[in-house]
Amino acid sequence: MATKPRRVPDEVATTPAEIAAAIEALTSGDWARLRRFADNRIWKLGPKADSRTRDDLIQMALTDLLADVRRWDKSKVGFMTLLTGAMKSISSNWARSYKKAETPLLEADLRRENEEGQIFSPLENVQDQSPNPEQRLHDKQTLELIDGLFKDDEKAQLVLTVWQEGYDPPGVRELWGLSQNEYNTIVRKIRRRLDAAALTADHDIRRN
Amino acid sequence: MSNKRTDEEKLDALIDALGDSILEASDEDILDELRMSGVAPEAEAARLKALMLGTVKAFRQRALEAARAAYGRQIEQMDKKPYSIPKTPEQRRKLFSFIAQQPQFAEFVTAQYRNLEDLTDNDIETYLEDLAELGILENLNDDKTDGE
Repeated sequence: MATKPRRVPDEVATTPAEIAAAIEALTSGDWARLRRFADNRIWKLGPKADSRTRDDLIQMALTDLLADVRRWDKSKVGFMTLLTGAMKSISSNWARSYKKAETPLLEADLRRENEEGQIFSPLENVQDQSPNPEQRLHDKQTLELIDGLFKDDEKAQLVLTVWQEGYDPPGVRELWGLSQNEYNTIVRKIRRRLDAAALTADHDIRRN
Repeated sequence: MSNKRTDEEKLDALIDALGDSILEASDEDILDELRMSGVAPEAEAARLKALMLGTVKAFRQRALEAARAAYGRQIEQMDKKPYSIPKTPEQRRKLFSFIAQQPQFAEFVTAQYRNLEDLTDNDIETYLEDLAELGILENLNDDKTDGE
């Protein structure tokens, strides 16, 4: 049985002033990571982003924290971990609530509070909508495009193949006997080649 | 390895893995990649920072305005609320004297109110209104009724 996440107690939840201080403390690397991660989530959403942008996603994660929809226990997780976790959760909720041209309700209207005071959406328990033929074709073409980009790179192909099967980094390294450095080099090459091919974020073909 | 995954699931898993790799990448790598995609990291950091701090500021202002409005409503209600305190200054002074002598109300009678002669009628009226607002007078009436 799935358990509900425990609510962070009032006494350790952060104040807006502490949140502002955490924003001020982010490094240039953090900002770059935040932007690229938001782009990654928007890319994953494809048409389900419904015109929402990376900035919308970042703002929503922050607003949820300020409005006490989500709480941050500073002693347990860092600000970046909290923000990126919130962005993951919010983008998943957007995906679940999306149904092209047939959704009469806003996800926000369906939000409810559980007995621990945590806001949740009933849509969290709803399976993703099956992709329509147009989206299925886009997904197929995107995978073929990615495959084509790395047809000359056997190591990248090995990683990409098992990523598609849901393997995590330690699992990939163990399966193919890669060291951490080898894995990092391959992954860096994958990211850069996909960026150069304009497949990620701003030029997402899934959104067409 | 299973071949049952749909293209959508495969692509989602691939994008998730890329997302995780972004979080695990070194600062140097991630900043280089942002530059290579034509974005100036410093300018983008400044833009995002301003965006987020602006959101925090707007939220705090809204919270402050809401607190001010709630306080205003509370004051308005207090002004409208009829208190069941005696109508004449003499009766009020008598009641205040009675309260000041009760040990159970000692905590409510601060030093400045202990010298009855120094208090104006207005001081006593205001003090009794405060006690009425706190529900002390109501409790006192109940106690007296019970006692009788």
